[in-house]
Amino acid sequence: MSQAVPTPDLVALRRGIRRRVLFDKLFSLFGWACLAVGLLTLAALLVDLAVDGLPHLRWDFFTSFPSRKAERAGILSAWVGTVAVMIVTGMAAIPLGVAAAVYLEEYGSRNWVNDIIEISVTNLAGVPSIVFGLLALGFFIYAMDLGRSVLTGGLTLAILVLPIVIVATREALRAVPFGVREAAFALGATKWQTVWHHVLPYSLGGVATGVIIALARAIGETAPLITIGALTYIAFLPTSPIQSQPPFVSFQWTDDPFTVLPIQMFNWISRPGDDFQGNAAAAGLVLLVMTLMMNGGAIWLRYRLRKRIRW
Amino acid sequence: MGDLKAEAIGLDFHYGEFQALHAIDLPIHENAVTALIGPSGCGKSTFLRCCNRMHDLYDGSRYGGEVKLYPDGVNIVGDDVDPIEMRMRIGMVFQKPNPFPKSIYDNVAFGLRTRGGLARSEIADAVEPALKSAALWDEVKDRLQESAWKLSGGQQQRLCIARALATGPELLLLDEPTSALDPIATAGIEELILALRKRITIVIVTHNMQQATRISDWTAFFYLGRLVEFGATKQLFVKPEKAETEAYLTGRFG
Repeated sequence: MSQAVPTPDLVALRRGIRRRVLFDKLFSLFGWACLAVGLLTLAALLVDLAVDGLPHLRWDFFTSFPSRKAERAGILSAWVGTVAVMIVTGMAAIPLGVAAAVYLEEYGSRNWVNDIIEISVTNLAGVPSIVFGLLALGFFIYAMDLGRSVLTGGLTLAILVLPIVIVATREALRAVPFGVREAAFALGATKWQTVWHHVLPYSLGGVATGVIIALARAIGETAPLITIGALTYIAFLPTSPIQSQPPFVSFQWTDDPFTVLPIQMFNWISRPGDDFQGNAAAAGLVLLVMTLMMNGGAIWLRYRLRKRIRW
Repeated sequence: MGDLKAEAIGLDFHYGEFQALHAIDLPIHENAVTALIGPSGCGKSTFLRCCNRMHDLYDGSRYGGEVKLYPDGVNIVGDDVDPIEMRMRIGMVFQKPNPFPKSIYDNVAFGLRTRGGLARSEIADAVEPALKSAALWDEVKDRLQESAWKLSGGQQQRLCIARALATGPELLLLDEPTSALDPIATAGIEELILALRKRITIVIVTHNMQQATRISDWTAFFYLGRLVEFGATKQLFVKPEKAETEAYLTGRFG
């Protein structure tokens, strides 16, 4: 059966292709421009901070307490406070968030109670951080009488980032194919054995990434800590966790007052005159580098663990 | 051809409102291979997954009727029967090889470890015979600590069979175990099934009718959630009783 195939108008065809490909190129150019806005802003911020801050970044900036004299002021109490608060935040948010996510993803069946919990968790992630500060002020300080301590600060930030940990963990759990769960169940494993021996270990990369991103968010938070009344000027360190007397370990530090890097920065910025502005920039630089390092760590971890397990 | 190892009696199954299986009556003969055939969506896999209560993992599934497991005659799908006990007594191998991303050894040992109370040496003693039964031992004996994911598809599926055999199941369910494998690996699995059937009862779902004739003693033809015909494989393929069976076997639908 022969059928007359009409000769295509190749010139018109090719012109059409060129026109459509041109649009592709224009769009990718536009996309680059959009990206550049974000990247340039970040770069400008970094350069600005570096110009003002780098001259102040000497070793004794890290080992000195804040002072009334700008050239002698340092961030010792602030970075130690930040580390202490992050430890409490991590110890509270990681087990709570991961356990909640495991429940929602592996145990909870689809019913209206779990639907409401799910919606609430998502909404919680969008609540302004200062509202968490108010909650913490009312609950941890007035109701539970924990004081304006490292513990209160850490727990406040822990609730703040809990939704991030939960959402990230759930996504990581969901990435484990159902075939693996079925294989474990088919061998007579219980839910807990399946989760503990298989699902959690295989999703560790995603969970760890989510945790680090949550902590990176917490490290820069200022408003909720100011709300609970964290001090802005502290010239001493929390009690050391290691003691020379028995029992050699002390948890007194969780009860001590604290300040953190962003609050120290805020304090310096709000001083009149230019003396302290350089210090603020230097502290900002330290904070930014800490955040970038944590995010970098998250990327590295994800890469390492993904290489081992790829579905 | 021996005694019955299991028997479905009036088995119904529902996914929510949808009834996937209608009053299935199907005997499973001991130490023989029973093949379940039929077009996609006919209920053969659904039936298989009733036999180790896999459906319990998903909301909205409901069983009716009975699947008796002999010698004790427990009703596998009974409400008062623990699905974990049934899964410990009945092994399953899935369509897509799904070894855990752990070592070959850990894959085989997992079923025993879940039971608890077994000494390390008891588990170690069970791994080698399981791998030998699955005709995998010679290929992996020198690299038991390597990741199971480094194995080829056919080796992975044999590892899944070893994993299921390690706990000494009374019944082995195979859900299209070769559909994701190439012809050579498929031949390896079929050979293995023929070697195993002398000592374990096997139920296999297959899309491949030649496969059913090659390896099974009994064949059940499912269509639209009903068991249309059951009989000795030779009989059923050569001289089917029902018109629907004949139409399917001769390729007129499905």
